[in-house]
Amino acid sequence: MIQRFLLLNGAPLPNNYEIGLEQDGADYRARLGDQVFKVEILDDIEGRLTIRLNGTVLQFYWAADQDKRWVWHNGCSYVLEKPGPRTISYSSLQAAQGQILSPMPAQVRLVDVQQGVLVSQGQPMIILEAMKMEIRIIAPFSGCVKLVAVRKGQTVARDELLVEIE
Amino acid sequence: MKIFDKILIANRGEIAVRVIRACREMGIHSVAVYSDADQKAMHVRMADEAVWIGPAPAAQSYLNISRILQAAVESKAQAIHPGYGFLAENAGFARMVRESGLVFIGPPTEAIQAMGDKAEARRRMQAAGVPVVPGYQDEDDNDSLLRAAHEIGYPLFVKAAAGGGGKGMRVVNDATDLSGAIGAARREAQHAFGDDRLILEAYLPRARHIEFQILADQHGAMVHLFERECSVQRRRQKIIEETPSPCLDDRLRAAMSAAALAAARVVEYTNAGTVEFIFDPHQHRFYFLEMNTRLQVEHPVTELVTGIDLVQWQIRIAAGEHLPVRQEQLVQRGHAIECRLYAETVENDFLPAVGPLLRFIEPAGPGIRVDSGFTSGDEITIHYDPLIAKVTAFAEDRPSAIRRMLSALSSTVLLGTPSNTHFLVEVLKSDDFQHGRVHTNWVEEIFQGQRAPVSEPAPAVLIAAALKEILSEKNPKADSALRNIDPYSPWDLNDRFRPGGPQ
Repeated sequence: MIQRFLLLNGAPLPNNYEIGLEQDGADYRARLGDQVFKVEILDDIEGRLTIRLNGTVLQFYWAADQDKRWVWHNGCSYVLEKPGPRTISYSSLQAAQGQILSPMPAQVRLVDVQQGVLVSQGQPMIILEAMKMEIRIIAPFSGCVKLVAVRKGQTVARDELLVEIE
Repeated sequence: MKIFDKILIANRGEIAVRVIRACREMGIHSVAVYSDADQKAMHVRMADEAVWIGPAPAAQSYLNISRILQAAVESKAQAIHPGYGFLAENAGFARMVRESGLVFIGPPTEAIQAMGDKAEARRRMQAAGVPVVPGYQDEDDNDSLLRAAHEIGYPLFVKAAAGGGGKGMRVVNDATDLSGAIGAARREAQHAFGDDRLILEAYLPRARHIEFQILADQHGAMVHLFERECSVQRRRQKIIEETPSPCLDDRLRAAMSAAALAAARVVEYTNAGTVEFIFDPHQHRFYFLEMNTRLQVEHPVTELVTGIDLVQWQIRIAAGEHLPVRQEQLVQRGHAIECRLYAETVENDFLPAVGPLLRFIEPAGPGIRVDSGFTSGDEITIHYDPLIAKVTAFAEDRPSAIRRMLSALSSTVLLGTPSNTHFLVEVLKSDDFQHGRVHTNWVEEIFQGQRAPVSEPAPAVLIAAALKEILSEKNPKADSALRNIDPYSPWDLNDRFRPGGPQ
């Protein structure tokens, strides 16, 4: 059985991981690249997983939120995502293509552009507000506004499309 | 002397919880207030009573003065503790609380007013001989500001006269940026404080932020409880605070504490307050920055090194009790460091994040104190400050306190929302922090551009994740922390779809 994940953790380009798991009596054999591991499950309760991996006892905390998988191990939290129809997009990648996404969940306080107008690089287009902070959304390059996807007063999620320019 | 029977806490999150704990220890009934977003919040669960005060937006709930006063009167509370933020430094609120016949647990209304106005505070400090940052605080039309800026020189700060907490504040590097910064600061100030007056202050880029805790009773007694070093900041907000400061010697400590007491006396201060200074370590000079007329977020470090419970003393002072200690009885014992755990995306310019706390396991152990406003199952929402918890480590000296904090942070489990936990570890481990060589711009200078997210997961992490996919499918009941495994469930969609609605 193969499990696939993308690494999120805010990395601009997701990495792909494939982990093979085969049941072996009460235990499992895990395959990652050309490495093979022996996995014994010692405890699995309320999202706390304790395993013996090639003889070493390790502890993890785990939680799931839709397609996202949160794993804590040894002082670090990791966010993995099951590849699916709702795999998220990345602000920096999209901005290069003219799709300006919201950097954080926020409320739209001001929309200063309309469809069809020309904007110059660095020009403020939208002002967002969250937790009383003002975030100016500026044009990453000069161009024509193809689409304004939000209106004043509305709330937006992180990575939601705000404006498209070309 | 009669202490109160019942106190209403006009706040939420960790500070409401902190005040409720103090009330409980003093045998005082606590009344929480809450908005629609906080119906099941920790402060509501912990208080003896809870009163709904309005919808989620703060303006309609935690900033709704008449509704909060009504809640206090109806619940028969005798006093109101404002916490920090929201209405804590709102002189109008303090006045109305007192006019309603209730006790406001804080300083006199006039002191809040004088110190809340940065222009007025600068004038009064100058008159009292307390050094202020070179700057300008008079007529604030754009032309006057432009002229004054020319005299002060760049870089400089444009600040909202009514501001605080890093809001309505802009750094300006040269004259061409000034007009834009004035416009933005005015808008932000008007929006956040309903007052768009501005002041200018010279910007000292390599300076440190050092503040002194003041405690004064209503009978003329006033002490300082030493300093807090708060130079580790991002987005102009503190993330790590400690005491004693690694850069003060006894001579400087004496000079700054004397200035802090003088500043507080100018406004006839009572209750707990904090005088903030900017300290230029190269010239060994300090300047008054502002006075916060309330309890500070970072008050635990002071409590740990002095053994004084600041919140309980706020309540006792408000009830008319005398200060229990004289200045010469106070000592700084050991070293305390506080780290603020924020829901935020470090790699995304430290912008706040939201999300459910699917799992939150607080650190514990000798010398570790946690002030938290949330537990597993709670949610960090867009409406309020994203502070999740404060972790404070207390030890005999600074290196031990740093090691203790590192151990605490590495045992903190937080799943469901991005947080700055790992970033705090990086800061604590850095050479500059360990040698006490930080300044208020240090985080931006050192971590800008190299905010690599957490490194590649070890094979063990990937194997555990893969294994859990199989195990939780076999036995879904084993995971109550598992929020929702069905990605297609319509109940968990984030969009604005409403059945029968327009979209």
